[in-house]
Amino acid sequence: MTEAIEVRGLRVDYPSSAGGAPIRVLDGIDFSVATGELVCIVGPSGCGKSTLLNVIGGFLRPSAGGVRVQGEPVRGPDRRRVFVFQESAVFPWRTVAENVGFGLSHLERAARARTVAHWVERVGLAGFERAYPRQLSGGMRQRVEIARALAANPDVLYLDEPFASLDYLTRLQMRADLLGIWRAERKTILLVTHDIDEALQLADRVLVLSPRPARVQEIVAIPLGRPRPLADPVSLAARAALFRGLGVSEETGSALPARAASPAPAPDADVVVVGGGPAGSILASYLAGEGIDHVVLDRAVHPRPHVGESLVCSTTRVFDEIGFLQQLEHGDFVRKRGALFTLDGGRRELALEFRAMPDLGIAQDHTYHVDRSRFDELLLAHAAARGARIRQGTGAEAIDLAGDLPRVTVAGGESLRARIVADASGRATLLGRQLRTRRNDPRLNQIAVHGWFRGVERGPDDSADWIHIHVFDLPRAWAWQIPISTEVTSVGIVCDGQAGLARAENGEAFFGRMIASHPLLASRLGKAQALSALSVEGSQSYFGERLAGRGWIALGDAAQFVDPVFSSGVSVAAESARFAAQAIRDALRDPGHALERFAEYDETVRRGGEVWRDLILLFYRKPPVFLSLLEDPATRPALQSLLQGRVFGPADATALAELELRALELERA
Amino acid sequence: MGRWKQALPALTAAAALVAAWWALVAATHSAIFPTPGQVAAGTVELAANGTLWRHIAASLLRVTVGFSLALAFAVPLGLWMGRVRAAYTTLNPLFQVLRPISPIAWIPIAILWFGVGNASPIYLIFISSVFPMIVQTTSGVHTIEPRYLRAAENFGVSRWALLRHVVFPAALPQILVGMRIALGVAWLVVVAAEMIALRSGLGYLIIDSRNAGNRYDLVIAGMIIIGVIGLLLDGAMRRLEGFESVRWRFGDPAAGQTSD
Repeated sequence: MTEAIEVRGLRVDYPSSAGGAPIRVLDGIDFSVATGELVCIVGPSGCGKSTLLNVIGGFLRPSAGGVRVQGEPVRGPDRRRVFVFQESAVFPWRTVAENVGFGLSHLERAARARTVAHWVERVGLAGFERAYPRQLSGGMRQRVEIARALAANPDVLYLDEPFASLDYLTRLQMRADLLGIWRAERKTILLVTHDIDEALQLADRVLVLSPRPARVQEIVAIPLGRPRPLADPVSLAARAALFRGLGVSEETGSALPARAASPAPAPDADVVVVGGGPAGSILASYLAGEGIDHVVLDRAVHPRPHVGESLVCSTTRVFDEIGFLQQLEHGDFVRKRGALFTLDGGRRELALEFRAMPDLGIAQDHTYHVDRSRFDELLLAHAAARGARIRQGTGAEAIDLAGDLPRVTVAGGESLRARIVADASGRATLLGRQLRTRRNDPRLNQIAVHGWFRGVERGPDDSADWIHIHVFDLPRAWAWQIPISTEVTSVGIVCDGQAGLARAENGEAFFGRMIASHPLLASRLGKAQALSALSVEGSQSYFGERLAGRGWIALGDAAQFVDPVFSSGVSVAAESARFAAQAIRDALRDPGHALERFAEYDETVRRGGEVWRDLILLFYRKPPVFLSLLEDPATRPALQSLLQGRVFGPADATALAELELRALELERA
Repeated sequence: MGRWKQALPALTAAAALVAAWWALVAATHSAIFPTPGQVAAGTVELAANGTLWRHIAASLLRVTVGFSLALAFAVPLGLWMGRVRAAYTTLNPLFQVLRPISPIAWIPIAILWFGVGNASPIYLIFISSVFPMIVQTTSGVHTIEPRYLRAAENFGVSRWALLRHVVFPAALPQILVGMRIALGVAWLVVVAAEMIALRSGLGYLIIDSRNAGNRYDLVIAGMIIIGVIGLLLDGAMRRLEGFESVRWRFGDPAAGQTSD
């Protein structure tokens, strides 16, 4: 396997000055760093941290053992991996621009000038190109050095206490800058520091070295998004682990007995899928199809409360790939052939008849309305039939990412070790809450009041089996009308969570009041009977700040959730499960590039979620404008493609941006 | 105004010295030792008939040639000794033995080898200024912060690029120090050399003025001119240290502190 950096059995002895026995500085160091990972090395002062980094960087030869970077043994410094030094090694005899351009002598003059200008700008030193280092502050000099390193476009960056000589505020600023650059460039970074807080703020994992002769005392993973509040419980736990690893008690500063390193245990499964909803079961179907060893932990409390009983066309590809399409087609699910939007109390309407999506390989022109409890059960059963290992009635309680292998604790105290945990825990967002990466979108804090009815008048025959979206003349308020079966219709009203329900009003009263205010809905529900009590459900949109990391990946509602107006929920689950299956397959095949692959996943799925969200915000801003985009033959094809669920490609995001511009023009006119 | 104020104590001391000199000569009624006034008159006489300029030009030419040859020899050799351990251990002991030998001691050998033309003093200037420059260049290379070399190695530059873009510029401030010392020594040596084997130059001017009629006014005029030119040469070398590419090592004169 090709990790970005692999250190094996590394030993360094320095000759002693008195001619006696050599002094052992590093004694059997073993660890590896994945591509795109940010790892910090901490240890007591004088323990050999810098020596270790210098050996890895190729500046020192080890007495025994070796270092491989991207699979190649390190024989010396290499321009693909650049070292940033503790004290600024910016050349004082060169200007800022000359320094940044130092590693670029292989480029032509014009290309070099462009690259230099880009990086000078990137580190915020535009205007200082001709300044000499002595005219800059310490922080600026360090930024020159980082720009010089990054301009050479290395794969790996080694930083030896890069901010140690800076004042406190500058140091904080530089850490933030480094994180920004790391996120944007996805370099593998190995950073030596003596500052525990620096490690806590920056690292994916922290390597704790023992006093000389240094061994790896402990590896502490910090499974948190960034920026990180240091008071976060996960952060505090990691901090305690670091202090323990350093043999120092946080409270008293007293030394504790050194801990023996425990051998790495074998995983219970390559992948543990947390949650057996559509995202989890579709992922399981894919994994089973790939022959990847996995376990699905399903809490199994069917039926679950759900909004999202209607699918979009793009999911057809997923169901086809996992062999589920036939069951949908022949399983008594109502075919969904289009969407009908109504405005002005139903006096205006606009029809969107679905089409095949040949660019996604989808030949059929319809999708489905689904009774979610049945749909979810069938999907899970289908996964089981494809060979998925499913443990029902086993809910995951917590996911521990701190060790070498992620560990999922289930009810009853049992724990499972996996190489990758796939969080498909739905709106419980198990990891999102644990890692505090879940961010609510204040613009879309909606609630839904909904129920099933018999005897709903569905409108003219040609669109009776479509989804109807009735827009109210209130901000972000609309009602759905979804045919669940020939008799049963689901009706729900969605509106702003703050403004919608009047104080002391219950769901039933609100629902009745809203229906009564809408002439068309009032007539359609005139003879309808509710089949059960209405449910009131929050529909707060949110997204995960990170959707994947070392050893974990989040999908479906566990990754993000958007307002249900365009029936995107199941499609996000299905498509993210599809992307997750590909990412997991690649990550297991090539662990060295796992993080890169997961970062790609993160980007794709996040983009899809953002396109949905922006499409919804565009609709909510001025529904009539949105609908006129759908009417206009110039913009209709692009909008239809998005509404049918084609949202995950960069071109789709561009298409949406163009529609947004057009909408602005229409609003002004 | 500020500069005048700063120079005032020094000018006062110089004026006091001249006044004491004048008073002592007047008090002792010396027939042979000149007063400052006579020295000034003698200087004007030398300048007016052109001999002064001829001698200054001759001395400067010898220093320029000898010093340039030494520079061209010492800097590459010093860089080599600085970079290559074996070169240093082989040559350094040799230079440490040759260095303390006064250039004056070389005069007989210089005359034996090069005769009594311009070549002898040029050789003496070379031999006197080459060692300080070798020593300073070597030490300049040895004291390069290892982080600069490592940073450069990082980017996989060629040996030549490393020498040209890192080693030389990093050692340059120290090389300039060597040049300043060497030029000072060269100026000392040229006067001594001209006193012995030549018929031109400021050294010859002094010895000739005494031999040709005890013109001590001209002897002292020559001495003062040597001092003034030495001061100007040193000032010129100091100006080089103000260049941006070496200023990092010498600090910012305006700020009055070193950044090193």
